[in-house]
Amino acid sequence: MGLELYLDLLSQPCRAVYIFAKRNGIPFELRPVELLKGQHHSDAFAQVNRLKKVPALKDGDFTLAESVAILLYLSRKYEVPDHWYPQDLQACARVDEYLAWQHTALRSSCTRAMWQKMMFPVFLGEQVPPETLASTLAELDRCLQLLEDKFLKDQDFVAGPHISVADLVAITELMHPVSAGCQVFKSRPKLAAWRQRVEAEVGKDLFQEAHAAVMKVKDLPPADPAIKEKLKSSVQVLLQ
Amino acid sequence: MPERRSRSPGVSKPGTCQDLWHRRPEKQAGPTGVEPETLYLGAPQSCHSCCPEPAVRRVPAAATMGLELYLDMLSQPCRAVSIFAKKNGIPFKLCTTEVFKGQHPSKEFFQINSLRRVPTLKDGDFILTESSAILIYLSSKYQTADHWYPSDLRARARVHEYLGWHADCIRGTFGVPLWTQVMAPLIGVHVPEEKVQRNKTFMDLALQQLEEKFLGDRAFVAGQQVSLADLMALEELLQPVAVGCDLFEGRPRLAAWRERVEAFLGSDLLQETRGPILNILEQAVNKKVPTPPPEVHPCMLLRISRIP
Repeated sequence: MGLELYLDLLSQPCRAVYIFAKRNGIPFELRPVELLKGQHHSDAFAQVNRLKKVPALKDGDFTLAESVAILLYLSRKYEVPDHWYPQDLQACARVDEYLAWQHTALRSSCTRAMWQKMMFPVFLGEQVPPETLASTLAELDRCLQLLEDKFLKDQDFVAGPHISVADLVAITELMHPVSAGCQVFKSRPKLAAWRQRVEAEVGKDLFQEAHAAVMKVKDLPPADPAIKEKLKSSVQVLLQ
Repeated sequence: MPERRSRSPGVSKPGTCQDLWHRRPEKQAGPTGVEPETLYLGAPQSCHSCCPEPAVRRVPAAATMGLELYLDMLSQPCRAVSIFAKKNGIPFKLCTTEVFKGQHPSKEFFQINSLRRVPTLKDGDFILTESSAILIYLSSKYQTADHWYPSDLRARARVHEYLGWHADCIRGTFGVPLWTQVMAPLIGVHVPEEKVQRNKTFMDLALQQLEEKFLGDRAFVAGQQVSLADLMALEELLQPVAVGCDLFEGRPRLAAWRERVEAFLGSDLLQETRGPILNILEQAVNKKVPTPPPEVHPCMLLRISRIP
């Protein structure tokens, strides 16, 4: 059994891993794990990742969780072009810096924005207080400003002149609120231009393929009561 | 190790403090009319209570060209970086930045890092934030022993796997008790009991996962040897301990891990690094923690509002 990637393309980090693997021609078996059906809670999946989260990787007897760990593992094992995760000390540090920052900053506001604007009301039928949503969108805005000012600056990509895993992680995050109707790129020409460059590097077809599922989430019918119950407790934290 | 002065309050005349670091600087104009030898880093650190006036830290000029680390020892990631650098004999200039202790962030620091985040590394013109990035940079640049950040593909993946989970479940969570018990009250904010309890639940869950998923029956969180992951984890877990939440009580596996890491690092190094955080609760109780100035209140309030 070769490399297996356990993914749900509704999840931002899963999309980053998917795009990275496909773009670099890394052969893998896609093992879908449907979050909205609670499949990540199954005993079978727990064997792959005790933390019950996606993405997860299984390479022979080696299992690995956490998207950044997976991206870096794949980049090294499959000897992808250097720009994805550079050998150069300082260039690499820039990627590490972005990957660390986004995890405690942008990721949270993108997830919350998407859930509060769309998933709670549309899928779970739960109204979100307007002030909560407003605060989340303000935080998202603040993170986007930091992304532009601190990372992108006047560079072509977030960690330097060439595309890296940092860009994949960033773009897949930003597509989350976009899928919920947030106009992330409209008022931010710098980010919009960066998006075009990333899409061009990744390939428009692959980019669209990776985002097909999340872009259709707004058309999902409301969840049935069984699913609602299953998901409710784990997503309550996204209301805070 | 210089002898510590006792901290007994008392009257002493200005300029009589014998501690090297607490001498008032003599003005020495260099070619540009600026003192060449002293770098002012933030407002002066308060001296011991024996000196009625604040003193400034003198820094030899030679040190200003090398590696600089901007650190606040109340901060968990800063302690991890400090411990790592010192344990590995990495020469650096410590630029103490006490963001909340009534100190104004200096213009220099602001120019270096407009977000005034700590830790920050400055290596010549190269400026880097984010503790995990800094640790990886230092381990690579100074070619530290392999176990810190193993070159083996899978072993390294385990370190990154830990760091990813740490960002989600440890960072932000274990700092909360210090905020609820010390920092928020300093600016007159009371964090509701409901949030305090919720935080305890999150910490319990995280500790369970740390023990079961990461430690397991391994000696350290990412393998059989100490790594960057252990430093990051331990300093975070120490934060609530410093304000009286003994997380290690009733968790013998975690306690044993802590002992192993601390034995490896050495008690002198740890005592030196953890002095400020271990004293903070006592200082707060005795009302000896300076009130943060108004300009840092907004970011403090923002942090407090993020407590789930």
